[in-house]
Amino acid sequence: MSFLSERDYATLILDGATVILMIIVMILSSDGRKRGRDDDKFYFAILIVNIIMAVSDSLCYVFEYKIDIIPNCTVISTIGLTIFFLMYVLVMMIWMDYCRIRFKERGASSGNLIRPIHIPGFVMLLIVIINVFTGWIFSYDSAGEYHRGILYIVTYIVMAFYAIIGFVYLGRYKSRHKAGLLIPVWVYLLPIVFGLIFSFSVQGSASFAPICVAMSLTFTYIGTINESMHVSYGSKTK
Amino acid sequence: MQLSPEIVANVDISLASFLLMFGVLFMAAKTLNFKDMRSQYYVNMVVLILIYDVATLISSFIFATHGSVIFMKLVSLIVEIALDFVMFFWLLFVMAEIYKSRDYIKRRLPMYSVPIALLVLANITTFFTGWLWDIKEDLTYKIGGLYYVYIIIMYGYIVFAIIQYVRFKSREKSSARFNIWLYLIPMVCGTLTEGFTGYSASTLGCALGFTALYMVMSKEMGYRDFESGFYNPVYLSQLYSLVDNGTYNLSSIITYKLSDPAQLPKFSEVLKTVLPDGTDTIRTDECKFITVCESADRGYVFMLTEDVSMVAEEAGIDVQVDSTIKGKKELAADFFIDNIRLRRN
Repeated sequence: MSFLSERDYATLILDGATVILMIIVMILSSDGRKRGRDDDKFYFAILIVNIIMAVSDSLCYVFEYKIDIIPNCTVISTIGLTIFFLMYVLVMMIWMDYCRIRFKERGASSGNLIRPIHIPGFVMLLIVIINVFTGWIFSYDSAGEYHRGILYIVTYIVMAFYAIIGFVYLGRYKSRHKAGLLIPVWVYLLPIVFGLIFSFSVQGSASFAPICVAMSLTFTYIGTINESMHVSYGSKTK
Repeated sequence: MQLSPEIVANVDISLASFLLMFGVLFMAAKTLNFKDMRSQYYVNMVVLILIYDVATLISSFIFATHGSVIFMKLVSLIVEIALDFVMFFWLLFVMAEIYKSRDYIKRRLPMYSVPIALLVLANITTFFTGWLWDIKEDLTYKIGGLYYVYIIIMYGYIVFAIIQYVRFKSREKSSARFNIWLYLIPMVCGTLTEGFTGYSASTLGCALGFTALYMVMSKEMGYRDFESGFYNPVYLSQLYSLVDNGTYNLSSIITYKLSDPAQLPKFSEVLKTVLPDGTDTIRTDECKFITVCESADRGYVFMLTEDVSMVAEEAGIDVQVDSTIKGKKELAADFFIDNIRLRRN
């Protein structure tokens, strides 16, 4: 019997694709980072966090349900899944701040980086860490079976909260700038929504979260490249 | 309908590839310049990958519902032909990047088309004979006796493209923006992963490679003024970086000012015929252009200026042409700042 199940292989392939895609975006966006702008720093941070999320995701899936082969596999799965949830919450929080800074009017200041709106996120991060001892979000029983905790859905509500706020900033920016080759908001949203629905609805599906976040980040980067094509020559706009 | 774990895994991977390519295709359709042949070849490849993904998803559905062998064969035929054409358009894309000539591609098209015609014919024949591949009664894929010959011919397009690229790089010592490895490596990783695991990772590898390709094309086209074909003002920031770090030794600037914007297309053609390689031309305003040059030779710059003036006059174009040359002790970056106004976009 193979150590890796079909679901493990699919997750490893998707998470590997996530890492490759994020590295490609990092390489191509490197010249933009030399500008030293806050939004570029936040964007780079999301890329790094998503890579860590993909690696921890694979770690969790590979060692999940392997108690017959590795007696302590639940420890590794717990560590992997804890890091995964921490990174997932962080990705959404940083995404919100990236959108706030990137899609505000020119000349407006970035403001305080730590604001009251971050409180739910920080509380959630604390709960994810405490979960190792309490099982409030997830746990593994003595047979190695995975169980969702009472606060599992709250984790996703908090993540969705930050993701939605980020997209609100994006949507408001696009409604202010109707001209030009700007990408519709749904192009950024579609991968995340579709992937999450599929992951929840299909039993035994691979993990879609990191690759969907990666797609959304890639489309965001492409959107910022395409905005540079919006060139005006005096009164004539291209 | 019961989906086996293997089917679910392949569906997951194909779905990820489909989502990625769908988003890229949507953006490419809105942003790429389809007069450029590279854009046409690129979109063809993306559409073919989407067809490949959809066909793979359909085949998973047929497998899960114990559908007919004929339908499975039909879907497999579409998958194979789609992949053949991806390789074909990939070669055309690379040749377009290297030679940047539609005529060159047209002249060589018959030669490039022979293998793809053979591959398509072989696949259609295989539908009835099973020479390359076949579908068994349990709907699983089986390779035929001539399968590896087919693979060699198909991947021969990739190998030929790489050889052409390596020869191009050895001829053109200066760094070209075209870097084949950025998109080739993900494609190879995907193919190798599929070879070792049996899961449909090659299409996801292609999707990653084409996404990287689109990002590079977008960056390059972000500097292009579609009307004239020269650079747009956004390129000036990039140019300043090259001058400031010493990569580009800016030594002279020729400025052009058109009196009638309607003459822009004609003037653009004039400039393209007169200006030699090694000069970059940027459209800085509706009727203003500058050509930057690394030569500080007064005679050379004067000759260029006179050539443009003369050809423009013969074509009936009213344009004012001036030139400025950097002083011997003047820094290139200072010369740039004094003579070119950077556009902040």
